[in-house]
Amino acid sequence: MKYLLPLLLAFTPVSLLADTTKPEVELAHFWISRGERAALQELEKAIEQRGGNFTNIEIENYDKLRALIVERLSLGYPPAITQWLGGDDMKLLHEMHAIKPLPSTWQEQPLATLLFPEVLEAISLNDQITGIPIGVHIQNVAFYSAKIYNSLKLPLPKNWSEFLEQAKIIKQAGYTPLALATEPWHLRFIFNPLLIEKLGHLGFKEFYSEEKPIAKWREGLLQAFDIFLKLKPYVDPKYAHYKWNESALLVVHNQAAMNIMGDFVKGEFIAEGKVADKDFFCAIAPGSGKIMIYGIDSFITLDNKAANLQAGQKLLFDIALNPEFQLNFNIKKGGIPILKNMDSSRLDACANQHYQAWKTSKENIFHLPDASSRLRLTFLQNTLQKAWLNNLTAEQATNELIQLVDEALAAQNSANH
Amino acid sequence: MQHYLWPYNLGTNSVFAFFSITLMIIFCSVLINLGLALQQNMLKASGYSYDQKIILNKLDNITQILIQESSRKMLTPRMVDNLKNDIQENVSLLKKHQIEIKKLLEGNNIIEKKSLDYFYSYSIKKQVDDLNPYLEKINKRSQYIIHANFASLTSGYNFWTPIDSLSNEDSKLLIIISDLNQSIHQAALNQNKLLKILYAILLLLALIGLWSIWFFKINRLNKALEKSYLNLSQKNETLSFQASHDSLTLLPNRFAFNKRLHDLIDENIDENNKALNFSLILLDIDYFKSINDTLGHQTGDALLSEVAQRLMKVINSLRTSTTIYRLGGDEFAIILENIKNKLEVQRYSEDLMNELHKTFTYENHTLSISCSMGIVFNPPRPINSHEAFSAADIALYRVKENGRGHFLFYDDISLVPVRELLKTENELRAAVNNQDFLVYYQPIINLQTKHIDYIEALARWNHPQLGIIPPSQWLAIAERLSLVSLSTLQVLNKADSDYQTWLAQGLQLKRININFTEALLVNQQALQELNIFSNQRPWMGIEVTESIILDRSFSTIKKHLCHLKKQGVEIFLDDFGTGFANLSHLRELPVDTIKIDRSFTAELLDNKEAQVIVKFIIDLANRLNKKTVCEGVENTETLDLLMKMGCNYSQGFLHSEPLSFQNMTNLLKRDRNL
Repeated sequence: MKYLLPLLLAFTPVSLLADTTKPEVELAHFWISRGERAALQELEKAIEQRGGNFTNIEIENYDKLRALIVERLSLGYPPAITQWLGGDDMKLLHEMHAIKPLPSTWQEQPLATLLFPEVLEAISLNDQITGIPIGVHIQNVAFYSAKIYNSLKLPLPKNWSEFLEQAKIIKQAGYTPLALATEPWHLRFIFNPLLIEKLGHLGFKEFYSEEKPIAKWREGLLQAFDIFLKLKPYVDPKYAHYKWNESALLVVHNQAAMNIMGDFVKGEFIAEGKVADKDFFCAIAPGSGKIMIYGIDSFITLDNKAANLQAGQKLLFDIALNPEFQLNFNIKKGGIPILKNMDSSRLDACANQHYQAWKTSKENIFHLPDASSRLRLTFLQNTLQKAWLNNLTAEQATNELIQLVDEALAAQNSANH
Repeated sequence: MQHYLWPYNLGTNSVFAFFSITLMIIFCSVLINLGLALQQNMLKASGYSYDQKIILNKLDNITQILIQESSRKMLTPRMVDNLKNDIQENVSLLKKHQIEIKKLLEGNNIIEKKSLDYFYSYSIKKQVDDLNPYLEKINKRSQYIIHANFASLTSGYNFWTPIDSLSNEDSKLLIIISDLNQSIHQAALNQNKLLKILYAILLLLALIGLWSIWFFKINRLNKALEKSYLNLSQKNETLSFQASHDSLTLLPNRFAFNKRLHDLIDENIDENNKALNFSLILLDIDYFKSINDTLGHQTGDALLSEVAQRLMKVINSLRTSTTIYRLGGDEFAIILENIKNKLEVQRYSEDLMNELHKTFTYENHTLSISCSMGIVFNPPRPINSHEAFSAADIALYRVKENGRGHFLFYDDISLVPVRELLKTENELRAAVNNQDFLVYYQPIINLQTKHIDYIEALARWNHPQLGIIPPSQWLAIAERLSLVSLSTLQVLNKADSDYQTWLAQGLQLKRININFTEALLVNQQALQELNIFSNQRPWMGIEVTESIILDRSFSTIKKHLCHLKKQGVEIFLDDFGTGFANLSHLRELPVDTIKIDRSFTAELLDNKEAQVIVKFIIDLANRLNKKTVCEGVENTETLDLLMKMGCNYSQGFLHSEPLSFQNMTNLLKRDRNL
């Protein structure tokens, strides 16, 4: 006993030291739904398997995360890694020299040979790798209740008029045809496939080009708004009480026939033990044809002097591009892997279908109009919300949107002159 | 050091003034240094105070990260540890700054302390002290945070309640620090104003110092130097006047003359073809030497002064630019410029001459003098100053040779141009150096025995181109060039050796006669060099011309002749009867033999007067116990007559022309029947 205490004392600092020398993956993110948390557990598992520590910083949504990161970069104490959108936001931090560049190879293989070119482009700025890609999400994906569609013997709708026909039948059968959530963005997610249907692929792209007027798309917009407003009777009257995941559960639990939120919703199905193609169907949303609107989940590493945090950054990069991890993670997360050459057979039917479609039809993919077209997104979303809640006619909504965009452009032009 | 170079001593007053100014400058500098040190303190304090503001701001931000719920979400234990460390660090920095500020505002030493007390209001120090309770509260709050764990810190409102009020005072603290910063800044600005005044005073003092140095020292020194410079330049002027002027007559001297002549001729060298437009007159006072000798130097000097004044008087009446120079002794030179008419120069020369011919009165003496002048009128080019002078000199010599008392233009007499004459001069010099002189001998016959008793040695110049040239053509030049003693020496040596040869052959002779010029006889040094007084040449006889009697140095010549006579040298008086000799001189001179001039001999047969004169000379000589030689005997009739008249010796072409040594030897052998 006489020697035990000094011995313990002698070992204590070593064990403490061992903790601080362990790679620390300090990650801030906004993955808070069940599916997202499940996917995150895959990441945590992978980190711990590789002898690292995972520090989880959960923020409600991207807007709050973004504000906090910007504040911390100026006040100090930012996290070592954070989830971040590509495009303008990534450019902003890159110009602040806040982002620590990453290696252009993974296990001695150039990233270009590993990643889909769209993915590589999304995480590159000025020939530097600025982000860690983790998954690709398709936004215009619709999920269907297998039970409802099977019992009513309905085929999955190809376009919106077909869906409107089906909606009557579904409603008569006592189901909610379309699941809607309280978040405003959800209206936009539903409207996007409508826009693709009415404006066509190129028209849709041009509509989201911030600097171009939209008056020439009046007819298409009118039609889109018309169908959009016709959907109102087919949503759950209590939709305002549902968050997106709660709304998703309506389809999971076969109370609603369809939702259009994006493939990430699949996480919620998986979390409930549902199986793709058996309990639920997934397909590119009606009206989209083969067009896929996609987004890429990515992290950025921020400058930090602590060695364990730097090791953690390296570790996360290592894990993110690992094919095994990509499979495990994306199955839970609902998206498709970022790597070109994967054995997709282990993906579920839904993901595999999307992965194959992504791999083969390159002209038809379209990057999520997010950070680069914020203003137009906002105008659209506000108009959609107003039209939906205030009973505007399609014409009124169309006029209002065109007016909003025109005025903004006029203001911009006068400022430029 | 000369008195006038530094006439001003440092007075007690000025030393005091300089000392005071220096002290004031030092005092001012010390004050400025002190001010600068204090200002530095203020600036440092201001810096620390500003830092405090930043630190407080940072602490506030850190606290806000902890307090705000949204921000708290993005916190990990790692970040909280960092936050705590930063809080600890910043709080201690805040304290340190507070201590530093206090120290700076209190000063490092007693002088700074006193000055700070004086310059800065009590309020600043009070403001600093006022900070303390607030800083203590911040410290307390910080300790509260530092000693809480991660869970407590992120627990929310309940954790923050006890220190909420403290954070409310942050803004108050910031205001106090801002005020303090402002006060310190203001104090530094005030100090700056004071420093400005001090700098101005320092500058003023330095200016006063400089100005005083200039006014009291440099200015006076400058004046002293100016005065001494003036002195020196006056002396210089006097010296240069003296260098170029004669002190007795105050006329320009030879130096000035040479320069002027050089300027006139050599400086205008480019106008080669034009005759020069000036005349040069060389003027000698006749027999000035004997005036000096007989009446004394004082009289001589007075005479020279008077001459100078009279010359000046004439000159002043002349319109043209004319200058008189005293070249030395009784020699004067006059340069007349821009006279184109020779007659005018002649008239002018006559004026000069007439002026000098007027009698002089000095003390009790009344003197009549004359002068000789040699003139060069508008010398033709090419000519140099030396040649021009020589031309005038030759003309002057010619005047002297021809009885003095008149003037002569060089171009009127010159048979040979100056340039040729100069060539002759140079050749003559070369001949003397090369011993190109031959000695010819002419026998002197004893009229009783009909044998050769004496031989006259005659120098001949053996010119390389012109052949044998008699002395009449070069002796004057040789005299002018002082070459006579050398040529005479050569004659002496030749005669000596020839005599020895003859003696060895049994050809006995009474004497060999050597011609001595007046110039040579005057010059004792030359005579000694010739070894005349040493009695080494028992064969030597001397021939001197009658003109010695008229020479200004007659007494010297007489002395030398007496000396020679005592040593047994026979003395012949040559060219007797040509008009110069006074019969009384015959008595004074130690002459053994009189040589009657050839002009009498030539006319002897036809001219009764000549017969009377020659008879008279012979009789006189007999009575004075002197012998006579008749020169220029060319026929037997003359010889017969002379023998009747009782002449002792005969010389001339009747007997023999001058002969070379060999021919003379043959003649002697025949004469001695050998």
